[in-house]
Amino acid sequence: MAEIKIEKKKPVWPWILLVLLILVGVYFFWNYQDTMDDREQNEVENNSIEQMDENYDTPVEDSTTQY
Amino acid sequence: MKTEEKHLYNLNELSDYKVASDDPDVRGWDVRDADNRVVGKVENLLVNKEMKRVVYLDVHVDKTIIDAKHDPYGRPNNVDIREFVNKDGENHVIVPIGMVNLDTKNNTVITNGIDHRTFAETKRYQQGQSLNREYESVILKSFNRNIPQDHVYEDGKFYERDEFDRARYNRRD
Repeated sequence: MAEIKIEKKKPVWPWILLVLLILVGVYFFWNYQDTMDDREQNEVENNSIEQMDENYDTPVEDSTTQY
Repeated sequence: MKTEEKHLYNLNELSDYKVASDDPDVRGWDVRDADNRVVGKVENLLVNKEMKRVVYLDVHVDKTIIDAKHDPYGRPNNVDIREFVNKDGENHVIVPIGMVNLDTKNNTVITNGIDHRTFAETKRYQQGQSLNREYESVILKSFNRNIPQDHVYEDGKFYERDEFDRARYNRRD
Protein backbone atom coordinates (compact mmCIF):
# COMPACT_ATOMS: atom_id res chain seq x y z
CA MET A 1 0.00 0.00 0.00
CA ALA A 2 1.40 3.36 -0.91
CA GLU A 3 -1.31 5.90 -1.19
CA ILE A 4 -1.42 8.85 1.10
CA LYS A 5 -4.51 10.97 0.80
CA ILE A 6 -4.84 14.47 2.12
CA GLU A 7 -7.89 16.19 3.53
CA LYS A 8 -8.92 19.66 4.52
CA LYS A 9 -8.38 20.47 8.14
CA LYS A 10 -11.57 21.08 10.02
CA PRO A 11 -11.75 24.74 11.01
CA VAL A 12 -11.08 25.44 14.68
CA TRP A 13 -13.03 28.71 14.95
CA PRO A 14 -16.49 27.11 15.41
CA TRP A 15 -15.16 25.35 18.51
CA ILE A 16 -13.63 28.57 19.80
CA LEU A 17 -16.96 30.32 19.19
CA LEU A 18 -18.82 27.55 21.00
CA VAL A 19 -16.50 27.76 24.02
CA LEU A 20 -16.88 31.54 24.09
CA LEU A 21 -20.66 31.23 23.92
CA ILE A 22 -20.63 28.72 26.77
CA LEU A 23 -18.38 31.01 28.84
CA VAL A 24 -20.64 33.99 28.15
CA GLY A 25 -23.67 31.85 29.03
CA VAL A 26 -22.09 30.73 32.31
CA TYR A 27 -21.11 34.32 33.13
CA PHE A 28 -24.64 35.62 32.57
CA PHE A 29 -26.17 32.69 34.43
CA TRP A 30 -24.01 33.40 37.49
CA ASN A 31 -24.70 37.09 37.20
CA TYR A 32 -28.43 36.40 37.01
CA GLN A 33 -28.23 34.10 40.01
CA ASP A 34 -26.39 36.77 42.03
CA THR A 35 -28.97 39.37 41.04
CA MET A 36 -31.81 37.05 42.04
CA ASP A 37 -30.11 36.28 45.36
CA ASP A 38 -29.67 40.00 46.04
CA ARG A 39 -33.28 40.68 45.13
CA GLU A 40 -34.52 37.89 47.38
CA GLN A 41 -32.31 39.13 50.18
CA ASN A 42 -33.67 42.65 49.75
CA GLU A 43 -37.22 41.36 49.69
CA VAL A 44 -36.64 39.44 52.89
CA GLU A 45 -35.14 42.49 54.54
CA ASN A 46 -37.97 44.73 53.31
CA ASN A 47 -40.58 42.25 54.43
CA SER A 48 -39.06 42.12 57.87
CA ILE A 49 -39.11 45.86 58.08
CA GLU A 50 -42.69 46.03 56.85
CA GLN A 51 -43.74 43.49 59.39
CA MET A 52 -41.97 45.37 62.06
CA ASP A 53 -43.64 48.53 60.85
CA GLU A 54 -47.02 46.86 60.82
CA ASN A 55 -46.52 45.70 64.36
CA TYR A 56 -45.33 49.06 65.31
CA ASP A 57 -48.30 50.84 63.69
CA THR A 58 -50.94 48.54 65.06
CA PRO A 59 -52.53 50.31 67.91
CA VAL A 60 -52.27 48.41 71.10
CA GLU A 61 -55.66 47.74 72.42
CA ASP A 62 -56.15 49.30 75.68
CA SER A 63 -57.78 46.78 77.88
CA THR A 64 -59.01 49.44 80.12
CA THR A 65 -61.32 50.92 77.50
CA GLN A 66 -63.45 47.85 77.45
CA TYR A 67 -64.60 48.54 80.83
CA MET B 1 10.02 24.81 -1.05
CA LYS B 2 8.68 26.86 -3.94
CA THR B 3 6.84 25.35 -6.85
CA GLU B 4 6.57 27.11 -10.18
CA GLU B 5 3.44 25.30 -11.27
CA LYS B 6 0.46 25.05 -9.07
CA HIS B 7 -0.04 21.33 -9.67
CA LEU B 8 2.44 20.49 -6.96
CA TYR B 9 2.48 21.78 -3.41
CA ASN B 10 4.54 21.05 -0.37
CA LEU B 11 2.06 19.89 2.26
CA ASN B 12 3.74 22.15 4.82
CA GLU B 13 2.74 25.12 2.68
CA LEU B 14 -0.92 24.18 2.74
CA SER B 15 -1.93 25.21 6.21
CA ASP B 16 -5.53 24.10 5.62
CA TYR B 17 -4.61 20.55 4.54
CA LYS B 18 -3.27 17.55 6.45
CA VAL B 19 -2.60 13.86 5.84
CA ALA B 20 -5.91 11.97 5.90
CA SER B 21 -6.60 10.38 9.25
CA ASP B 22 -6.68 6.86 7.75
CA ASP B 23 -3.27 7.20 6.11
CA PRO B 24 0.20 7.34 7.65
CA ASP B 25 2.19 10.54 7.79
CA VAL B 26 5.56 9.29 6.60
CA ARG B 27 7.51 12.46 7.29
CA GLY B 28 10.62 11.51 9.23
CA TRP B 29 10.54 7.89 8.09
CA ASP B 30 13.72 6.24 6.78
CA VAL B 31 13.80 5.41 3.08
CA ARG B 32 15.39 2.10 2.14
CA ASP B 33 16.36 0.97 -1.33
CA ALA B 34 15.81 -2.35 -3.09
CA ASP B 35 18.70 -3.84 -1.08
CA ASN B 36 17.35 -2.52 2.22
CA ARG B 37 20.07 0.13 2.48
CA VAL B 38 19.08 3.46 3.98
CA VAL B 39 19.16 6.04 1.20
CA GLY B 40 17.57 8.94 3.04
CA LYS B 41 14.73 10.24 5.13
CA VAL B 42 11.35 11.61 4.10
CA GLU B 43 11.40 15.32 4.83
CA ASN B 44 8.26 16.53 3.12
CA LEU B 45 5.25 15.42 1.11
CA LEU B 46 4.49 16.88 -2.29
CA VAL B 47 0.79 16.86 -2.97
CA ASN B 48 -1.60 17.49 -5.81
CA LYS B 49 -4.68 19.32 -4.56
CA GLU B 50 -6.90 18.17 -7.43
CA MET B 51 -6.17 14.52 -6.73
CA LYS B 52 -6.17 15.16 -2.98
CA ARG B 53 -3.20 12.93 -2.40
CA VAL B 54 0.55 12.81 -2.06
CA VAL B 55 2.29 12.30 -5.41
CA TYR B 56 5.98 12.51 -4.37
CA LEU B 57 7.99 11.98 -1.24
CA ASP B 58 10.61 14.66 -0.77
CA VAL B 59 13.63 12.71 0.46
CA HIS B 60 16.68 14.17 2.15
CA VAL B 61 19.27 11.77 0.79
CA ASP B 62 21.81 9.94 2.89
CA LYS B 63 25.46 11.00 2.83
CA THR B 64 26.40 7.77 1.06
CA ILE B 65 24.31 8.87 -1.94
CA ILE B 66 26.10 12.22 -2.14
CA ASP B 67 29.52 10.67 -1.57
CA ALA B 68 28.98 8.27 -4.49
CA LYS B 69 29.48 11.33 -6.76
CA HIS B 70 27.69 9.85 -9.74
CA ASP B 71 26.57 12.05 -12.61
CA PRO B 72 22.81 12.28 -12.97
CA TYR B 73 21.02 10.12 -15.48
CA GLY B 74 18.56 11.39 -18.05
CA ARG B 75 19.74 14.83 -19.10
CA PRO B 76 17.11 16.77 -21.04
CA ASN B 77 18.13 17.88 -24.54
CA ASN B 78 17.88 21.55 -23.74
CA VAL B 79 20.17 21.46 -20.71
CA ASP B 80 23.92 21.84 -20.99
CA ILE B 81 25.82 18.82 -19.72
CA ARG B 82 27.89 21.03 -17.38
CA GLU B 83 24.68 22.26 -15.80
CA PHE B 84 23.32 18.78 -15.41
CA VAL B 85 25.34 17.70 -12.42
CA ASN B 86 24.59 17.35 -8.74
CA LYS B 87 26.07 20.40 -7.09
CA ASP B 88 27.03 21.00 -3.47
CA GLY B 89 23.96 21.56 -1.33
CA GLU B 90 21.71 19.61 -3.67
CA ASN B 91 20.73 16.86 -1.26
CA HIS B 92 17.05 16.26 -1.93
CA VAL B 93 15.35 13.98 -4.40
CA ILE B 94 11.68 13.31 -5.06
CA VAL B 95 10.30 9.78 -5.27
CA PRO B 96 6.94 9.04 -6.92
CA ILE B 97 4.52 7.62 -4.38
CA GLY B 98 3.60 4.66 -6.56
CA MET B 99 7.19 3.45 -6.58
CA VAL B 100 7.38 2.88 -2.84
CA ASN B 101 5.90 0.56 -0.26
CA LEU B 102 5.13 1.73 3.24
CA ASP B 103 6.21 -0.47 6.11
CA THR B 104 3.96 0.91 8.83
CA LYS B 105 5.28 -1.49 11.47
CA ASN B 106 8.83 -0.19 11.17
CA ASN B 107 7.96 3.32 9.95
CA THR B 108 10.01 2.76 6.83
CA VAL B 109 9.55 3.58 3.17
CA ILE B 110 10.84 0.86 0.85
CA THR B 111 11.68 1.56 -2.76
CA ASN B 112 11.66 -1.96 -4.13
CA GLY B 113 12.47 -1.00 -7.70
CA ILE B 114 15.21 1.53 -7.04
CA ASP B 115 18.69 0.60 -5.88
CA HIS B 116 21.42 2.68 -4.26
CA ARG B 117 23.24 3.36 -7.51
CA THR B 118 20.08 4.58 -9.22
CA PHE B 119 19.46 6.95 -6.33
CA ALA B 120 23.03 8.19 -6.55
CA GLU B 121 22.67 8.74 -10.29
CA THR B 122 19.48 10.72 -10.00
CA LYS B 123 19.37 14.48 -10.34
CA ARG B 124 18.95 16.11 -6.96
CA TYR B 125 17.81 19.56 -5.96
CA GLN B 126 18.44 21.95 -3.13
CA GLN B 127 15.72 22.51 -0.60
CA GLY B 128 13.93 25.73 -1.51
CA GLN B 129 14.59 25.34 -5.23
CA SER B 130 11.66 25.38 -7.60
CA LEU B 131 10.35 22.09 -8.86
CA ASN B 132 9.02 21.98 -12.39
CA ARG B 133 7.65 19.43 -14.81
CA GLU B 134 11.05 19.10 -16.47
CA TYR B 135 12.65 17.99 -13.21
CA GLU B 136 9.78 15.57 -12.59
CA SER B 137 10.33 14.08 -16.04
CA VAL B 138 14.07 13.70 -15.39
CA ILE B 139 13.32 11.89 -12.14
CA LEU B 140 10.90 9.48 -13.82
CA LYS B 141 13.36 8.88 -16.63
CA SER B 142 16.10 8.05 -14.11
CA PHE B 143 14.01 5.71 -11.99
CA ASN B 144 12.52 4.00 -15.06
CA ARG B 145 15.75 3.73 -17.04
CA ASN B 146 15.26 0.00 -17.65
CA ILE B 147 11.59 0.22 -18.46
CA PRO B 148 10.53 1.38 -21.91
CA GLN B 149 7.91 4.11 -21.82
CA ASP B 150 5.00 3.01 -23.97
CA HIS B 151 2.64 5.81 -23.05
CA VAL B 152 2.81 9.51 -23.70
CA TYR B 153 0.93 11.39 -21.02
CA GLU B 154 -0.52 14.81 -21.61
CA ASP B 155 0.41 17.46 -19.10
CA GLY B 156 -3.01 17.38 -17.44
CA LYS B 157 -2.79 13.62 -16.99
CA PHE B 158 0.77 13.50 -15.73
CA TYR B 159 -0.17 11.98 -12.38
CA GLU B 160 -2.19 9.23 -14.03
CA ARG B 161 1.08 7.48 -14.81
CA ASP B 162 1.76 4.08 -13.26
CA GLU B 163 4.50 5.59 -11.10
CA PHE B 164 1.86 7.34 -9.03
CA ASP B 165 -0.27 4.25 -8.52
CA ARG B 166 1.29 1.39 -6.61
CA ALA B 167 -1.14 -1.26 -7.83
CA ARG B 168 -0.61 -0.43 -11.49
CA TYR B 169 3.13 -0.02 -11.03
CA ASN B 170 3.38 -3.48 -9.47
CA ARG B 171 1.43 -5.02 -12.33
CA ARG B 172 3.77 -3.38 -14.80
CA ASP B 173 6.79 -4.99 -13.12
